[in-house]
Amino acid sequence: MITARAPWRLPVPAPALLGLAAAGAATLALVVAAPLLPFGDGLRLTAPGRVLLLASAVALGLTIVLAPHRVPRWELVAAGLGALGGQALLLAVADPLAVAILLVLVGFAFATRPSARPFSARARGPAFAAVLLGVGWTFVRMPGPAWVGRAGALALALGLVAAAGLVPYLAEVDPDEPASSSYVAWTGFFGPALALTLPGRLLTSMSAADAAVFGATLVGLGLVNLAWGTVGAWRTATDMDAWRYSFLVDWGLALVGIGLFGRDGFAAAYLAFVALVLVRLPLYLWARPALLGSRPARLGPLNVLLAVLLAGAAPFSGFPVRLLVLNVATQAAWPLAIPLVAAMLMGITYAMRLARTLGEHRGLAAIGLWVVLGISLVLGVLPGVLRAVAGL
Amino acid sequence: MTEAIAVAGAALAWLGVTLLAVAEGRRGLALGLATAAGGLATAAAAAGQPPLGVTALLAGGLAAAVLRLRSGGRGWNILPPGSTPRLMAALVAVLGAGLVASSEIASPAGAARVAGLVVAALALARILTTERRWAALGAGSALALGLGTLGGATGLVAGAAVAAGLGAIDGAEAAEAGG
Repeated sequence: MITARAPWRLPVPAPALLGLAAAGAATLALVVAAPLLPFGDGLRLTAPGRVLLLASAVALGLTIVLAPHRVPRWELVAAGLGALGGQALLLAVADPLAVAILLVLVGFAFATRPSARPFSARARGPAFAAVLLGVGWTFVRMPGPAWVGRAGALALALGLVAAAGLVPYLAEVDPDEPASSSYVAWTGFFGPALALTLPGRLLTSMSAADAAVFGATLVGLGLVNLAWGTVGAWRTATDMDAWRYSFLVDWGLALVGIGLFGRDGFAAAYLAFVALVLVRLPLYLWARPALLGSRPARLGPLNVLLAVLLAGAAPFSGFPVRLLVLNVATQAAWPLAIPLVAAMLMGITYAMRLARTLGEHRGLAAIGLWVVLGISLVLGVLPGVLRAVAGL
Repeated sequence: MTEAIAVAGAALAWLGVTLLAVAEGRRGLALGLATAAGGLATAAAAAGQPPLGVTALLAGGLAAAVLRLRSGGRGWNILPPGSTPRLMAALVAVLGAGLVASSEIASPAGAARVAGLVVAALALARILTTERRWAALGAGSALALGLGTLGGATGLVAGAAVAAGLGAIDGAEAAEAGG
């Protein structure tokens, strides 16, 4: 009982925050300046990676300045810079094994963030994902029986899903834990960085048979997450869980897109991840006051507009993603479109529920909500421009 | 000759990570980490990895081991009651890695790969089962070293840097709430 009533956090010492911010900023600068440095070959930001990094920086700036928070903003600036540095490394490091190793560092460093859950429990997810990715990468390159390569491809696909904390590795999320400390940061920030760049780097070293296993596993896990997220967000008892499951829906579509290997499929995943970082994650932060009960949930005119956005309908950011995934799925195997369309239609059922939790905001927070809505509209109306910038 | 050195290095790495897995004291954990680093570096050197990478791996592992002595359970506390499952896991891990890499275990590169796989698997098992922050950090360093041995020079240097970096994180349980 005493433990339950204990404050969930103690103040983080200023030197630790300064160190985190400095390390993050230095890493970010190193990644951006890498092409000019002698060892620049090991750090290469792809065009989609550059866009995602920029989107992440914009999302961090937007949420730190405008979103309602319980955590002091200067602490969020430090944590945000650290996270951005970590994300930049995950996006830029060209060697998949080095990415797996860095995942251990990022995971353990992130687990030091204040939380009521023990450090060891929060470090397990990234460590497990790192082993799956590292061992999988070793297996696909190892000479030997064919089953070793296929097991490696399977481990790589599972590693991507484990890093993001998706089904079947759904991580525990404490509702009281701030987003900057919870596993939601992996699902909505670090995970997209891994899933956007790693598949392209992995596929160049895989045999056709191993690549087929990798793709099929991603499609299968994508469909499972899509179904789990859609039904979960609709049927779950708490609004907090509904938000969490809604992330799975975006991930499900992205995984199906990646797994089908088409140009449009990769483009769908890229658009889904940019929207996840720039729209879904910020909206979740705006919903937190209502989720924690400090503000009432309500359905105003803006919330109805946000419900349309959250349902993935036109003209917002979710629509081109759905259109592209359906296009690729029907080209690859038309029955695949049936569960996709069903999940997309069912998305309407929980969108209103999520939109309600965004409540009513005033001042800077209200401006921020409109800005996110505007960003989603731009992403939905101009997907071609975004694809062209990323060379997709 | 290089085959024998690589196999000896792999055996030393397995011994080190087994020690790390069954130690509940900071000295036992640091000794396990240092031994694992020494074994992995030996196997990697015998496998023909670049000397700079091998030296970096050894230095990173030793630095992580020394840094882990700052906090954690007192003394050695090796094989406390309840360690039998971890000891069994250590035996199973070496058998499993041998099964996967059976076709190339006789080569130095194969032995180094088996060493890396065993260290990574047992370090992960420790992370998944411990509730102690310092033990998880020590196992995290071992995990980085093990994964680093599976690659080339980039992997070795990255593994060393991450192992030492994790060593710099405070392992005191009191820091849990504040971060």
